[in-house]
Amino acid sequence: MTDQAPARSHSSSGAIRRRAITRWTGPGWLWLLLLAIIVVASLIAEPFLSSRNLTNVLRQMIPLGIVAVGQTLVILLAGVDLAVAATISMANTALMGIVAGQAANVPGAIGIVLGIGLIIGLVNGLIIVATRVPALIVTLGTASIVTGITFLYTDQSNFGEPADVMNDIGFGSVGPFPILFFLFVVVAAAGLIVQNKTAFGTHLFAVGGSEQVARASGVRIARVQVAAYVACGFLAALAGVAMSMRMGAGEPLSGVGFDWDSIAAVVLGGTALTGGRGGIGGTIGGVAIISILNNVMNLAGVSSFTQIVIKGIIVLIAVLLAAGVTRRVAEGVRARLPRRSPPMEGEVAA
Amino acid sequence: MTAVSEAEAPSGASRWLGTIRQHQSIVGPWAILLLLVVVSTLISPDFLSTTNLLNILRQAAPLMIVALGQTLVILVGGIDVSVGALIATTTVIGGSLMRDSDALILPTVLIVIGVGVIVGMIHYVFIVRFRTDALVTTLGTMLILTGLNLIYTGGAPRSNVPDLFRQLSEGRLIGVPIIVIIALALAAALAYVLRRSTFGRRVYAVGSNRSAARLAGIRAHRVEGLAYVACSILAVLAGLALLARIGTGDTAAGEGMELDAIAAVLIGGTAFGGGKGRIEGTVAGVLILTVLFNIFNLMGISRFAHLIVKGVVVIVGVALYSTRPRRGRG
Repeated sequence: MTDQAPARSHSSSGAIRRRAITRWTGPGWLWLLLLAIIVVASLIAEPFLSSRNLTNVLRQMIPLGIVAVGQTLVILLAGVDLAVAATISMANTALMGIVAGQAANVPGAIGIVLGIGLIIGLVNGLIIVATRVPALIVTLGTASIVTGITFLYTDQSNFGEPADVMNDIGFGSVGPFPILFFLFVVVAAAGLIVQNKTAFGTHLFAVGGSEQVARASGVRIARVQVAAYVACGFLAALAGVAMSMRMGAGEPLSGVGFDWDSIAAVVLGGTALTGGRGGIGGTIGGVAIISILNNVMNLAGVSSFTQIVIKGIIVLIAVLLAAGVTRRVAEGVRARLPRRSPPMEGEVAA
Repeated sequence: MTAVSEAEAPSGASRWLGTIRQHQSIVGPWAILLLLVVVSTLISPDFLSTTNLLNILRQAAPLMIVALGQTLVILVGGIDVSVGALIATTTVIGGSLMRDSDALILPTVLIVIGVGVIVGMIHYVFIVRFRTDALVTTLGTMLILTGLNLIYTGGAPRSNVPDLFRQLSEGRLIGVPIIVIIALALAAALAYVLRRSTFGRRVYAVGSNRSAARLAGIRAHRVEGLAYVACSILAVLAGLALLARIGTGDTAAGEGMELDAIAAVLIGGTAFGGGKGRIEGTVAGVLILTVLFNIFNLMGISRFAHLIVKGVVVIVGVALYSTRPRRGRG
């Protein structure tokens, strides 16, 4: 044991150092994939690399990126939030309805809408913790409820009117960066810091890794879970607000698809749906990949129907990557090579 | 154990309670259904008319058929959210290929079942062989099917369904719509298979503890694969039932049915995560949802309110049975 200690600590310190980086950035292969996609994109569609288009890509990233950060927190807990799409639609229509074209109403409306997001998240979290019904089912139920309320409120037609200030912010940019992109940067940075530098972040991985072990270690599981769903609901509402800045009216179906898209981005970013592994860093990469692919397909004139098929194929590829099929193949190759050091099982994420 | 049961044996009441507790997952949903029927009758006297009851069963038939397959998949510990898209695919292909000709009904049915088998096999390869996450994998196939539907139809509905095929829904045998008889027969067959056959035992074994089942010599891959393929085939049959009822192949047909089916299965007392649940419960779950929608229609409640109530029913219904039997697990 003592003989092996130096060799072991040597090989594991490399792994630890690598993990110290990847907990901020996500897996390295993801960024290589992103780079490859950018290279291919600029070859396929010439206008891709123009600064105007790149600004567009950043703009498209904003709402999905904000929701996906919240979705990551929940998935790290081995949960999922299918209510985000409904929350975005509700935030969008409620904001437009309350603002009703008056600039003076904007701050109050944003406050109310974010409050609604908090409440939806709180309800999700409390039901999940109190009843132990799977998160998938609870959020499915609340999604149905929130959609129903939104339809009742708007009569399922376009609703409300933005103030000019909102569109100024939504369409404005600082240099090549859309103004709202900074909102996404702040959310992502805050998420990364919470994930990596706070007790809550550590607890997130602990509960997602093993609820029993976390409970035995004195983590207040219920509190962590409720907090994650509250954050997810809040961020979904924030995404709805960000999206509204670029719209001419509230649309009751504006959030449709954000639930699955955000889950796809999180999975593509290397976060395990079984919880405890992955993080926001990878999610940002996943969001970038999805946004770039959408953009390139639009530039290349791919029909919106074909885009749905391609999105499905991407989801299947992501799920294969997540299942470690590539890793298993790589291990198969490595097993045939001469072994140098004993394999390390670093299962303690965080 | 024996001492306790012997001591309680004389008391008929407690034996009844024991039986109820033993079959809680079935009794619960049927009790809720009964309550709902009583309330519905009080609210609207029209509810208990034969016409209305048969109408409810006819409306419930497609959902019941999908929910049967979903029950199988959830019992082995999986989930399939692609069934709604597969139903739409079935109605689109069916609506296009039949060309108002009775002779083309059978070939078309065989083709769509073939499509179902292919989708099921894809799920088998991904979820069972590569061990990918079932929710996200079936989400992927859902997107692919939806996209292909839209490309194929350009978004326009197809309605070349011959009248003979529509008899599936319109036609009656001893007063009962044919489609209802088919749905109930499928449910009875599957309930029998799950209760009595070796395959049924294996489904529960794999669903409750996959590695133990494998150690016991069960080829878990095969059981799970069969569940996914059966689920896709049943979704196709549900699509055909829906096509017979609405007479139009539409990319929007079956929208939301995957969620309704999952809700029905869970309200019916089948545990998410596998190994526990019965077809009898699922049938009750389907009827609960359908009766709810029916009574709303009779009362003239806005269809938007349906969504709200559906959400509440799903959460409350599932919460009723999952009152911490699995403390300590996620």
